[in-house]
Amino acid sequence: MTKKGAIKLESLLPITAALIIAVALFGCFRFYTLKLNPVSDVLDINSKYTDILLEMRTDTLLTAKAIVGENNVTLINANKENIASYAITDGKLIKTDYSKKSERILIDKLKTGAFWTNANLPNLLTVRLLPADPAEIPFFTSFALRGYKHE
Amino acid sequence: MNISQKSKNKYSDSSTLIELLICLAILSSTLYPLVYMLQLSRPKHPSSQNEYLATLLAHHATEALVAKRALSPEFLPEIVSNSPVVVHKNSANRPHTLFDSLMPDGAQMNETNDPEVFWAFKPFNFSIDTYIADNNFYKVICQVNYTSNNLKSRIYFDKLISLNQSTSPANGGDSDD
Repeated sequence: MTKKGAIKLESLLPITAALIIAVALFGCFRFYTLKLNPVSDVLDINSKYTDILLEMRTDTLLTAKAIVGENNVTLINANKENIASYAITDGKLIKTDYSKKSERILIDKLKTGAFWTNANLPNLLTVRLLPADPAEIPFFTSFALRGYKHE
Repeated sequence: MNISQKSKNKYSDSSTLIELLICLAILSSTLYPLVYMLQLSRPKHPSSQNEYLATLLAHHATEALVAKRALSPEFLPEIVSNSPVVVHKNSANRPHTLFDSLMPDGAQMNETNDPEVFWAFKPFNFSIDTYIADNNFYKVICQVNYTSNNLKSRIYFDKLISLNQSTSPANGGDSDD
């Protein structure tokens, strides 16, 4: 006498096959996302730096003078009107746009940051930002003040 | 068609479905190494950090040239070959004057006064290539060179300087190339 179960072998095989498919697809998905996370962090800081670079480049095209403070800089055009100011407060770089009357956080989690102009090159504004995460690259570049007028 | 033939056809149909599902299961298992290979073929991003920093340094050098020319329009940069960006210990090579203002106080950056940025800048060297184009233009190529994964890479910005001084003094009569 043969023993009869509730489920036949033919009905178990498709369930098993479907489970294998689901597990394989889930494994692929996990593998893909786990590897992508550090990459997206790098892309994230690069995109923030690009944003800062483009914002400051646009502003310095019109800037005649940069008034540098301890952790901030104010950009002024040839008509002595404020264009924008950049300040580092609580590890955040905040841009104040005077034409749009708006404030925006360009980057956060900064350890230190500084703005300066050189005595020999007063029309060159240098920016240095050091992220709190030591694995991330620092931001360091300069911008020629193209609205600069000879005295 | 009798009953036995009908049940035989039904069994044959279900066998085909099971075979199809088993094939799909095997195929989906092979997706894993395929995704692994795709992941390996993606560009390596640790090198893009160096690439990005080299771009920022090349931008700094080009902007410093623009600023210098705005102050003294007669200034034309000379050829520089493989000068370090920061002062290397026990090295006779000095950084180029365009990299003099790496510190807010105007001091030369070294491994004691700003170690974090110093070690970030250490892999980079700086070069300038120049030539005269069409007798009216002075072409300047600011290059930042670095080695990543045993591969020599470089980032360069071109600058076309007009030798006619009649153009706007604000930017030294230059144009980005």
